[in-house]
Amino acid sequence: MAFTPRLSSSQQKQMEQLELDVMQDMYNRLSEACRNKCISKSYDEGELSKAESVCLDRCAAKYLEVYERVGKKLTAMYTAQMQPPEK
Amino acid sequence: MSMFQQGMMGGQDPQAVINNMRQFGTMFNIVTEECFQRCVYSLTDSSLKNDESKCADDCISKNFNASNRTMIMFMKEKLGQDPLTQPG
Repeated sequence: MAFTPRLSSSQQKQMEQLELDVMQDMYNRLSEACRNKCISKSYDEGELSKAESVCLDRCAAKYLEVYERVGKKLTAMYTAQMQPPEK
Repeated sequence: MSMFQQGMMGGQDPQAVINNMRQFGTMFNIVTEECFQRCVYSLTDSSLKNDESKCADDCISKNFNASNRTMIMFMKEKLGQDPLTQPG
């Protein structure tokens, strides 16, 4: 990003750690959302049923699709905001 | 300079840039979760249905607009800065 000020190496590391933290947070939210949507809470057995497995796969795919949309929307809004104002 | 630009640039302070990025990243994840919970109802397929996509787009826009507005109000009320009139 052209406008980012120079970061010291420790600040660089902070940025990298931050990226990891954000990704981890996203993963945890995805896991919880899909667990709630797909897994039966009665816990009759330890194995995933076929239905549960398929549900988890699709849930993850859809969650990530929403994630991508957020990224696209944000980029669009960001680009719009960064345009010089028409005066 | 718009509030958004100021926020993103962190006023040239590297630590502020990092803090803003953290804020931004968290908001990103919150919006993703919210819009998934509210809009995605069917798991018969691996990709979003048309109505789910539309709902998600609207949800994302609305949540970002709300976030922006809240931030402006917060800066104004709590910090005494009006980002819209602050000189660039």
